[in-house]
Amino acid sequence: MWCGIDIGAATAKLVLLENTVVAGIIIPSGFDTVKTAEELVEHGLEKAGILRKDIQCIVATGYGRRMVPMADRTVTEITCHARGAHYLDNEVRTIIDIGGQDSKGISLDATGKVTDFVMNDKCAAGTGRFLEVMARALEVELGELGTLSLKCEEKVAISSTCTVFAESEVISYKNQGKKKEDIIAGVHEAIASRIYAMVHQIPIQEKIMVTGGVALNRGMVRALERKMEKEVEIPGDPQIVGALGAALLGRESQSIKKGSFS
Amino acid sequence: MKKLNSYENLKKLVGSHYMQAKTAHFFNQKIGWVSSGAPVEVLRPFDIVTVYPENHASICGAAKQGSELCEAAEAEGFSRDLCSYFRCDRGSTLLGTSPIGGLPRPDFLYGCNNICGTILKWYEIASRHFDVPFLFVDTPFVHTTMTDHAVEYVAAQLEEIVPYLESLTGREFDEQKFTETLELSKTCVELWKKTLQFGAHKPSPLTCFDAFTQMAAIVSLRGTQEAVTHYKTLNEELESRIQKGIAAVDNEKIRLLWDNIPVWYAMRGLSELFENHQACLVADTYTNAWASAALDTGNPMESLARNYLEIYLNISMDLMLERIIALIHQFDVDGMVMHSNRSCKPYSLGQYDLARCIKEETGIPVVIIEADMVDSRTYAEEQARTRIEAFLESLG
Amino acid sequence: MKAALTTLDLQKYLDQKKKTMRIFAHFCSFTPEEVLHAAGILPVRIFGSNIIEKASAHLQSYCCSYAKRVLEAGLTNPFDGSVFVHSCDTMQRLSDIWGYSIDDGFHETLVLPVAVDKGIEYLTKELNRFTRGLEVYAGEISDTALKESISVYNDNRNLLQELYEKRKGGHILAVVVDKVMKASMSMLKQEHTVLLEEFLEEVELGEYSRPRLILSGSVVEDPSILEIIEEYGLICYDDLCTGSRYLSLAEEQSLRGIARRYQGMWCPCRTASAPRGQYLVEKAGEYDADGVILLLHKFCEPHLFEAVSIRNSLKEHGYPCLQLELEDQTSPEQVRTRIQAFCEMLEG
Repeated sequence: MWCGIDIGAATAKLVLLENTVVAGIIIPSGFDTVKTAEELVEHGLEKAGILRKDIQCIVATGYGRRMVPMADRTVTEITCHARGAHYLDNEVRTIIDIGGQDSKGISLDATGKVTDFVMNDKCAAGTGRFLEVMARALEVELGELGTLSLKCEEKVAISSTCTVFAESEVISYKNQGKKKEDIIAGVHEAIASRIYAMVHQIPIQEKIMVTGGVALNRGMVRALERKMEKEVEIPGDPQIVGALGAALLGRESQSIKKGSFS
Repeated sequence: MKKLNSYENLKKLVGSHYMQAKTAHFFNQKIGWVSSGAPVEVLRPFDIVTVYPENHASICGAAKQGSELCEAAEAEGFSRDLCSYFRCDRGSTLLGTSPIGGLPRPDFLYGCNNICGTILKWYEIASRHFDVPFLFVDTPFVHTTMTDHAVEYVAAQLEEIVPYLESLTGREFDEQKFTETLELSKTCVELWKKTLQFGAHKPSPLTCFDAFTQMAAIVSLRGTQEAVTHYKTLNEELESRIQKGIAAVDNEKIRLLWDNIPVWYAMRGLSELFENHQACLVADTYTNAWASAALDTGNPMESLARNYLEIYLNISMDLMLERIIALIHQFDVDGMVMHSNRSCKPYSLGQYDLARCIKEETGIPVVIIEADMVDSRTYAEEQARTRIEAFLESLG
Repeated sequence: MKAALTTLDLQKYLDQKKKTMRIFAHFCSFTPEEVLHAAGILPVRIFGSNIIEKASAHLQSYCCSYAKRVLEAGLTNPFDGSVFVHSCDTMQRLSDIWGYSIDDGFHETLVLPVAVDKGIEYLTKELNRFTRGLEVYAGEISDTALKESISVYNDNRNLLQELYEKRKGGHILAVVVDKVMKASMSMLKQEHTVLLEEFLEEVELGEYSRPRLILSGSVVEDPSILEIIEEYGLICYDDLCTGSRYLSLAEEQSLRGIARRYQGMWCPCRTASAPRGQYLVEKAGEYDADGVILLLHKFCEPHLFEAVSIRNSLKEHGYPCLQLELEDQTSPEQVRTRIQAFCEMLEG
């Protein structure tokens, strides 16, 4: 059995892999990464009904990858997403991953190798964090954003790119009595154009897969499709693609050590 | 905002200028893209059609297309922290759009670094894109005083441009026409200076928002008869406003000085905000940058060199401070509004120290608002409004 | 490695020097250090620290961290004097701001031409103006003294070039190269030369392995980024102000010679005969590199402008390129992820 652990800024994910995915787990990232990782593994073992010694290799990825004590190896989420997406659909050539703190664009070739990638700068615009802030400002649940925005009648334009400024813009629209649905659609549009500007720097080739928690938001995905004028694919469980890639990489090459220079 | 009749005039003038540019190639004229601080007088005798990417970007900004065009440049990989005039121009080149349908393809580029080092990088990129030459005139910064070797250096570069222009246009350099151009340029600058000086009248017949619009001709049509005619008419109108007692802002109570390039997309909102507080921005450091020229037709290249070396953004803060203090006294202002412009470092860095010195030396208060000249995405309107209102309340 | 240069405490060295010499701050590879040296002044290149407090009262948030760092350094511990050169718009205004806020004994800006090739005459005269101005402060600078200083600098730079030659055959840690280069920019030249000779004799080359990277950018203030990069790959060559941009020699021992020396130095603030990407492609071939990392300062216009065409030409020639845009407070984890992913990609 092979295990991939993806510690992101908002959620932590685990995948156990045999010939196929045996278990996939998602929990919120705790303050203590070590504890979060231990909790993940425990859940995983329980769900798969196996023991710790049944796991041959653990590969850690994600923002907190270096803080996972039981990992045999660390690989970045960029390489892992590429591997995971390629496994799910080998025709994917572009991945757009919108995570809690990072968003990235990844180009891959027919073998699943990364050929280029881009990431957002430290600014939160264009990430899940931006959505969280706006959801709070509008007093709606994060999970409701997608469905609400699909009911939009007249989209409101959000002009600021800075999260702090955009929040005050959203609040002022709210105070002006604009409809929540219309504002949310505007928020989605703002993020989509930010992501588009970033991803455009690598060639956007079809098929395109969107991964990460934000991929669950239908409204957001639609906005992105409109902006790119291309359709995208959403995997069954977009949040665990990175962890899946990590487990796959573990299965493929247990012999490679942690990286030749560390 | 009370619209000047000359506004329509100007619109026509600028419109026909861009129209002429669009048809230039049809009439076998050459097109040059020119930076606002380049000695355009050298080009005029060759009947070259000149367009100003900076002016074009400001039009995009005023039409609120700035952010969209900037985004196109960003998608090509240019950082959001680069000059928004550049990003706007680059976006317009890539998309082929703008409020006037984009600039016509240049035959050459002509620029000076006397307004910023940005021009060098911007024009290098455009020159590679269009595969046309870039005539670069290197204008050394005036740190304490203008040095003779800097003047010689610039004059020599201007001399060197002439043979190139002769071969490009197939025309010989016409000294007579050159002299006429210099005379027209000088007259135009004098008329423009007079326009701005009307602001010293109490109440002022114009605001800096009028000047921002009216400056299009001094920037892009300097050295032409059309520009001279336009400013004559404008000055007549301002003269008659004074005679009739018409003020740009009713019950003018507060007189202010503006610093930096306008916030093009927020002009209307800002102008109303000041007007509502009976505050008139009677002068600004920006449009005054085109209001000095001591051109000597007997020694043209050297006098052009001197004039273009000491333009406002090519001088040290000491010299800027001298000019600001002169404006404060000349226009008798009560306060100063500084636009800290993310896109323009040579204009904006140093404002904190300048503001402190101005307060110390003249006692007038200064407010700084942060924005960008055409990229509205970085502008927090509410914050700026609150800051300005609080400032005006403290003056009132 | 035991060479004294690698264990040198530069701050301690400077504290000691301060007792016997006047120290001037400088900020750019285009500073005529030779002239200062001839005047008996020690030119020290400033990198500042990453804690910015006082400088925020003078510089806006959209100003690069390098300007903020060096201003903070000047405001905290003034030098005997400071020499700016006209490099970018930010450094030009910083010279003004420095003059307004720091009271040092000598403050001057050498107004470099942007077009060095056609500006040699002008530059020679400007160097002369600078030198005569410095004489008022420091006493006469004779032609003989200037010639000697230029020789001393050439000797040192010859040895630095040797160091870069060695990098072709095996690895020298980037932090070590950084330390050697920065010491050269801050120590009394002849003293550095002695240590450098010893260093070059004793240096042991590390294993030649992959991926091999070229690091390109302006100033690397904080060497910790070099350590992070070298956890995943080897830096085999650099194209930095704190590195190879310092290597070129003055062929004539005169002010004109100093002026001509600048012709051979590439900087995005100057006009260039060829696009930058071409140069990097050449160097990548020469040093057998697998990829290039562009290390840029957020808000640094000259470098950010060139990044797009550099990336494109590198790509065209099959060299992947990673652009890192850093501000002091950028999360190191994000930076690490990019570097690691880039090296994973190069390893295939």
